[in-house]
Amino acid sequence: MRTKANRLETVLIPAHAGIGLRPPHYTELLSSLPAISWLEVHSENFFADGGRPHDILEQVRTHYPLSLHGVGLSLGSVDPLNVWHLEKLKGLVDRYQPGLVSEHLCWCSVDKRYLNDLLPLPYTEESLSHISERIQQVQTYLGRQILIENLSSYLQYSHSTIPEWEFLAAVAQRSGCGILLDINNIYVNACNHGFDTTQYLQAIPVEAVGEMHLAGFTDEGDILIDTHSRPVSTQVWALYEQAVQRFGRQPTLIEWDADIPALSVLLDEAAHAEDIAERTIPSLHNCPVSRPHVQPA
Amino acid sequence: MSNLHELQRLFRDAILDDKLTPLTHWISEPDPARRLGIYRNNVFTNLRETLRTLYPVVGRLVGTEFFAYTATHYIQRYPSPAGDLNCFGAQLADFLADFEPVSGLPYLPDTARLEWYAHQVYHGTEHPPLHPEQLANVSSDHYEALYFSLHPASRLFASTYPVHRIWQVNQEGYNGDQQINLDSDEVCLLIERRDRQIELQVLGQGEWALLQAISKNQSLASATDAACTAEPDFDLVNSLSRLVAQSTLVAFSVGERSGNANKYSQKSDNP
Repeated sequence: MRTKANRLETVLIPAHAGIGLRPPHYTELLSSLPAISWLEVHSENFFADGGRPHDILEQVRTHYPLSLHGVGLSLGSVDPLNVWHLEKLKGLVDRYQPGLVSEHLCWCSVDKRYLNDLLPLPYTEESLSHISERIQQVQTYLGRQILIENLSSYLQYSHSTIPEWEFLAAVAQRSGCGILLDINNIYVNACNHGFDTTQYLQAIPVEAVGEMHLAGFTDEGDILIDTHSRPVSTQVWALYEQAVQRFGRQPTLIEWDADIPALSVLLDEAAHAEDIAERTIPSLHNCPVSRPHVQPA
Repeated sequence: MSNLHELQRLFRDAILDDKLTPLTHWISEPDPARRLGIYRNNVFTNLRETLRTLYPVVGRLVGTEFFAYTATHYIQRYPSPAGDLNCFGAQLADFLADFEPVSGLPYLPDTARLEWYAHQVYHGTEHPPLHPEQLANVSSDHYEALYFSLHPASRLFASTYPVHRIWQVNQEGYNGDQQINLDSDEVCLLIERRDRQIELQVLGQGEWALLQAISKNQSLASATDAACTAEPDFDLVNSLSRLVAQSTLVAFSVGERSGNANKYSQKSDNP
């Protein structure tokens, strides 16, 4: 048992580009320790009681600032919050002291049956008060603020009364959570549902944004699908630049979850995000930015 | 029922049971079936791939396409119970036992059971080893009242099919003997994690009876009786020292099992 005396110090996530760490890259990343500013993992991949996942995360945490990103808490579900899931998440948070903890603005289960996908909520007053209250409960339970991510969607509900961007801003305002702004998801939804990305960015309160995500989508012709299986598109890089102008330099993550390429491809994408941020808001020479947090092997 | 509850139920039924019609008027954009189809595909692909990763041997035995067909039926019969996909797939062995299309492969359910146990062992709780000197301090008067504990990341499993051979032959990179004799006797297995890999040990009748008894919280005296009944010339000392050395047995107590007194086990390093 880790005692309070040797408990890890939280290492904040720097306002630089990081990558999402997935199982195919565990070994290579930990043997080569590339100069990347921070790493994010899916919380649920480390819910196991023991075994290799924790060997990996212990080592990751030794060398890099860590962010935990959840995909299964089902914040928008009408079911009671899943206590087992919350306990597992709190166990991870207490053990690894991540710099950021995030979840999605979605539901993924009902009547204790899980679909394990990020499903959209109707944007109504009912959903807004429900999810805001649940986020508050989670923040109270974890003893910290969490970030909530906007998701990509392939349909809209007839009874929605609030635009997505206003809904997201209102959730942050009511629950006190931060926002993890997924730039690719904004672009995908703007194409799928026909809205203006600039209007979306303008509606999000600057002070609420604590992280951004970038990923690649697949164009199915009539609809864009957020597959996380491709490089970030030109249009999304352009929108990212606009986002940096509005929200400043933020921790920015490259996500890749299907057809995962070589680690170097993710690192190159992260370097490109870093270049755009630097070009948009240059770091001042007399104001050192935090260096990549890599200790010698 | 609230609007949100009704919507979520209809959505779930549309995805899992392909009942699209009741949900379509909730969707404002054209071609709701196409839109729901994207979600349906995402959900089923994700869950099928989860099962495929969890059950690689079953997958090899039935082939890629048939596994996908089987998985689709499984997902509908036993939907995912948690937001953590590592919890999904626990009932595949039971499902296969009743799944008519695989009735010609009677060894398949036990093969699935072995793969599920291996999955649990792989992610099981850590426990430090038991040092032999801790046992040496126990007075010989107390030997019969010793209660051992198995490593939390271990499982005992017996099958009437040679599932250990089926498992071994279907591991990636296996180059050995491909022959499997399906008419062999019952096999008793100890599934453990060693150097982060799954290891299967075939146990003799005596050691199987011993570990079964220990896993049911019986004293060393009762466990030894069971072992010697199953295998008259069972070598207890040799077996115990090996089981402690390989961390199958990781803790012990003296006297009543339920009591907290006299428990000998190192505290785990992990929370």
